[in-house]
Amino acid sequence: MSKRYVSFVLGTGRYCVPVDEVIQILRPDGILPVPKAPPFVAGAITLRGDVIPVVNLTSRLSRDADSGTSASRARIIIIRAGSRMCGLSVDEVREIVDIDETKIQEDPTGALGTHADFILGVAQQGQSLLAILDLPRVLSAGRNLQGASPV
Amino acid sequence: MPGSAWTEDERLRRAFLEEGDELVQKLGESLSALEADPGSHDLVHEVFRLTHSLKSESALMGHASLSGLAHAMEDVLESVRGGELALAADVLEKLVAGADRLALMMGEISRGERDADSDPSDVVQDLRALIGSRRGTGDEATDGPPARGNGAGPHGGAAEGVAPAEPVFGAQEVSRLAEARERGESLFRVTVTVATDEPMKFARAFLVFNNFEQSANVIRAIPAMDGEPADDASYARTVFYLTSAPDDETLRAAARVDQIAMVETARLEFPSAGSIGRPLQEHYRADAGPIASDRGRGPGPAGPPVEKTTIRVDARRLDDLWRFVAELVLHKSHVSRLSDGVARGMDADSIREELMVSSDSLEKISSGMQQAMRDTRSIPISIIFSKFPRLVRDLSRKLGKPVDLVMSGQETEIDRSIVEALSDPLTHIIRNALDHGLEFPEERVRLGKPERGRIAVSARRQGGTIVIELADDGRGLDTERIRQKAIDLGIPDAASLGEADLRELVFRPGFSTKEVVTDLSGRGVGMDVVATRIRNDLRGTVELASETGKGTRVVLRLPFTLTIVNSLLVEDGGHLYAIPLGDLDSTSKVSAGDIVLQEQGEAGPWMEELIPLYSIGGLLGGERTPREEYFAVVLRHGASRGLLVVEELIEEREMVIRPIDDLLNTRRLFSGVSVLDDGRLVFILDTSFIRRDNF
Repeated sequence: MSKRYVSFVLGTGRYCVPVDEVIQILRPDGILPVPKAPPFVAGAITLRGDVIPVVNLTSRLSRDADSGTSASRARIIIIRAGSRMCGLSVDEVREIVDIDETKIQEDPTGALGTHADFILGVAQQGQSLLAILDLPRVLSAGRNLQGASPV
Repeated sequence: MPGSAWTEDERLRRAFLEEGDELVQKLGESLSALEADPGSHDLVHEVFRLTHSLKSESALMGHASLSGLAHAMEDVLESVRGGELALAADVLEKLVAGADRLALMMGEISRGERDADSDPSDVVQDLRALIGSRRGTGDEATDGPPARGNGAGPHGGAAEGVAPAEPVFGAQEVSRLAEARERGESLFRVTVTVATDEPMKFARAFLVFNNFEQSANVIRAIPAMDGEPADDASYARTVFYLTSAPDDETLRAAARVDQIAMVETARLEFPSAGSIGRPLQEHYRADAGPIASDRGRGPGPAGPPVEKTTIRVDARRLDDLWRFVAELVLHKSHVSRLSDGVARGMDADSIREELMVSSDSLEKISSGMQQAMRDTRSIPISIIFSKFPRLVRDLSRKLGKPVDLVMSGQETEIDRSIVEALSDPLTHIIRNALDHGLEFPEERVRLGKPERGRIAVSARRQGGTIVIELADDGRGLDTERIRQKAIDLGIPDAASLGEADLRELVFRPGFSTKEVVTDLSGRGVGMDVVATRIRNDLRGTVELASETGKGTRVVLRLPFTLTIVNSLLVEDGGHLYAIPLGDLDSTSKVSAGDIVLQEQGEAGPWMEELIPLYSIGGLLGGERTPREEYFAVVLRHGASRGLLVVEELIEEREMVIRPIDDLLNTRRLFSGVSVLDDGRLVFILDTSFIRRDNF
């Protein structure tokens, strides 16, 4: 069984999310500020009346921001995870790829390093390695948050 | 009592409308089921039962055309049950047409239109034609008196002269008669003749029967009033044998019903115990002359137009509500005792303490009542879904595309307020799926798919959201063709749009044209209307998922209710916040010098005491911006009060509250979020953060 994924670029890394979870791809305009959101939340956008958080993936995955990518290619991928919707800010959206499920492996080389928690697995795609995001984990508010909710 | 404002007639009318609506709806469902399984005796019986109930109910309310139509259907079903008529496709079709017309007429009646405005005689004729000659001869064969409808005009009845032969009473009837005699009652024979111009004779006779049942003991009616009724014409003249007080005035009163042309009463001798099985001798006194009835013209005024003002509510929900009311009454008396206490000079501290307790409870009760009331307003989505089998069957037949409809989650509850707005978009989506999504059988077979198409409709509750999915196994969306179309239309970035973006284009006005041969491209109104309804009117979302060649799935997510809350809008630190007026006590000003630091935190003055003081900055984990003087909002949460200092008070306004994602609400300070017309976000404050310990 193969499944289709949308691949995108973050700095020097390549990642992907299942096409089925992708609702829309937007230019990163109109991100609204949100009071005291966690550092990896870039803000919120409104989509047909819904207010959707936008996750700064670079920050969420603790990657170094890469100045090499052109800002004009930056996009927000709106995805669905369960009943939630969320935006992921990425440096560039690439293509749709078919990945055979049997070819998905756990990080074989340890290349993913610190953000392995947010990755379901990797798949070889041409010469590069595509990391498949674990969306529920990426979007969980409980991780990497300073301070619990008050009383 | 609010109910007493209604007249008895109006109360009955409402009861009828409610009952009738349900019967009509069930009739549609059962007929659909019967179409799928025409051999089922149970279903034939069920449909028969429903038409029978409809007939009786509507006759009682004087809706003659409605009742007549139901009666015609019943007759057809009767023939089917008796094996005289095969349940062929054309028979079913006529029955379905009858059910459709019944639904239409029920609608008219509920809108206050006269029953007579809608003439179902075409449908009735079709139905009658099915059984035509066979039934024509059977009528006179009943054990009742010959149907003498023609002679029984307003003044012609007396001339009939010949009294009918009295029936043979059965054992049970005889014992009832004996009891009646013990009570000192007399036995009467009452012959009721319905006006010849009355199309629904059974209805009229039934009304009289019903009245008799109130004031007398009906031993027998010929033709029978219960059980399997005879043809309508047989009721042109109905003979009742009944016992009542010797004074027959009550009988005369009971027989005063519109469209009853003549009532003849005759007192008879009680049959002797030994006369069982022998005809009752015809001994009657001719002292009771005919009564001219008030011959009204048809049914009375239909009353004021009624839109669905009556609702059926699960009794358990009313029980819930009732529990809250009981508690409310309890606390009300507690509070009035306290106010007496104030008058008697009870000490302030204990009054305050008790008031707090009551206030807390009242808070709980009122929110509980709100919830209970909301539950009362909800209704299973089957009220919409139940139309689909018919819709799908009709379309499937028209288009020549056999299809199976699978529905689930019909019990999912939705708020009554969205039923109407939701019905059309769902219907449209299903129509589209059949029209454009599903392939013709030959094509499906060629593609290796099952010959019959499949449409699945489901509903479920997910938190505060209703999720409705409509899926077909048709050809799916051809996103590349959509892309081509988008490029042709000059839509920016069309060449690089992702799948979801392309699918989203289907919702654009003017996009779905016939050139794009997709599943959901439309004729006239398209998916853009669906999207507008769901997104703007119902504040929900609609998405398409599709796999080329495999089918299309439309997913709707709707808020359970549209939550609009009147709130005070404030600004602080460059963000907008709103405080629902229910959580707001008052507004004031606080100067920096009045703020004191207590053990638990800052406090400020309110009504000559100190209450906890908060700032939004502080609540969000930062600091209060130092100032000379602050605007302050006095918040309440239960019996607790708290001061919230803000930079600006803006205005009061109504806001539609949307759920807020956890990522935007990590401190759980907000109960929701709202979007202003200019696109700015407003965060709705949840006042439960107020400390209780200070109070």
